[in-house]
Amino acid sequence: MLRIRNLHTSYGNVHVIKGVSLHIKAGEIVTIIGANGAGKSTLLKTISGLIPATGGEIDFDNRPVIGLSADRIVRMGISHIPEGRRIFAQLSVGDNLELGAFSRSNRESVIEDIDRLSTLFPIIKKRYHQKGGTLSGGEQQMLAIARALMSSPKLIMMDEPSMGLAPKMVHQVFRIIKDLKEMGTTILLIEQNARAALSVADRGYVMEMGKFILDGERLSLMNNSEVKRAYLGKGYKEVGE
Amino acid sequence: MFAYLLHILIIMAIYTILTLSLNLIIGFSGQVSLGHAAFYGIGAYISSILVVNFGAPYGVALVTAAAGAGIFGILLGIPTLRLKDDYLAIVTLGFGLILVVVALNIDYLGGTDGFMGIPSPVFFGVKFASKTRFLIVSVLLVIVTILFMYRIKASRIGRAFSAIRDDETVAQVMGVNTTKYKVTAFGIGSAFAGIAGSLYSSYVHFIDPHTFSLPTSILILCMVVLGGIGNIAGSIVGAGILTFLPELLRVVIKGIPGISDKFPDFQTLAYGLLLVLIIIIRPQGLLGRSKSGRKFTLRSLFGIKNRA
Repeated sequence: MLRIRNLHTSYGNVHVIKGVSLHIKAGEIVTIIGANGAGKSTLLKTISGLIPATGGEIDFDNRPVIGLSADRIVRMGISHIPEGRRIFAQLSVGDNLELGAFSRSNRESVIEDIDRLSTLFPIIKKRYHQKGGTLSGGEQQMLAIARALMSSPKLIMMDEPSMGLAPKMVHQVFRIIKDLKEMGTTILLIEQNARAALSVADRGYVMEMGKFILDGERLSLMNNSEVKRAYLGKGYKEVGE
Repeated sequence: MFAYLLHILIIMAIYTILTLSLNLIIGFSGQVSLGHAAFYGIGAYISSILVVNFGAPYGVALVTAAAGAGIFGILLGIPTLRLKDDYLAIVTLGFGLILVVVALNIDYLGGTDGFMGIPSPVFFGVKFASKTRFLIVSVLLVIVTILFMYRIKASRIGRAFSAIRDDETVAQVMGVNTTKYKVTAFGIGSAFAGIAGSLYSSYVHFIDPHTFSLPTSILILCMVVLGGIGNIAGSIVGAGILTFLPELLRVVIKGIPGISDKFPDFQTLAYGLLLVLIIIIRPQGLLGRSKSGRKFTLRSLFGIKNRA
């Protein structure tokens, strides 16, 4: 579904992504784990067209993505949940969802989707007319996910959905991700909470200094001694498990 | 006295259209413009030239003024709206200043002498020359503008504007073509400024470039800020107060012996004072509600971060 070959991205003179290759099949959850500044968010921003790539290829459904504007990439079916939720604080929950569906023209199916999401995310119904900024962090993350689903994407990219959330909310967010997986959604998940990420993912990549240093199936990564040492911590139980 | 009151109301109406149009650009879509009076001027000149030099009916001139100013807005918007905040402010400021100088040096536009002999509007053979009649036309146009603003705010386009204002990056990942909508906001705002310009020229019968220079742009901006950025009712109130206030001050100053001779610019001083007071006391404007989340105020307009 998504295939990236030898991708390079720079911020001015700073070379951030240094030759990354990745693929995601339909229905998979793939996670990218890595420390701060490894280039994970930059990778997502490059895929969604917010930052221009300086080299390499990105194909989505066998169509090239590089060079397209961000709004056209959304229309192709890639939805990006940015880091830190970034809810429209001054707009109502309903308007936030409507904006998620901005690329769609069929009103009826948009309204159907809002109804459908209201059952998956009860807070949507409860807070429909409330301003986005009045929601708690966890509720905002739920709204961010719901908003991303509103574009009826083929692929959802999540950037640190657990960031800054209370342990209980982290747990809920990951339960939603599991639900989405069961519904057949394809997800590219970026996390620092490696343990939680690997608990839901099919496969994973480990990113360091703008490169993938390791990749593999969930279990092989979880049992990899390097991953254990650097990202999971020995005998340490992280929230969200 | 009655005629004077009508005069103030007409000027108020013209400024209300201007304020609402700038509010669309600044308040709805979050883009800075310090050259709004230029589009006001473009509308005034297009309308006047069409009526005086080509004998066009006023209705045609009004629509063409709106379209012309709108096109200028789009043409300025396409290259400049990639810029943000202060850079956009500088470019729009420069555009306004350059246009005045250009207009001053084009003989066809009357140059420094201005453009004279602009007739009153005529609709369907009825001449709207008296102040009462002119006020009716102005108020109708104000109502059309207000309705338009409410409609666009609630529409899909309005939602795209809000998204861009709140968070441009996220607007992009929502699938909003941000450049397109920013240019749209600039185009629509400029078109309404053009309508105001056409109205003004046919009211005062004489225009010269200085009317459409920086002080006017700043005045319109003050009206938007005073009422509350992004607030439609606020824009109307802001325009009303800042049109009425100098007239009131004039009366007050006349009553105090000595001041009017020594401080001819007392009104300007009072303006500045009022704006400073508003920023300190009610940064969200008179009718602006304090919002949860990011506040959109004059401070944030110029990229000044509120201290936590």
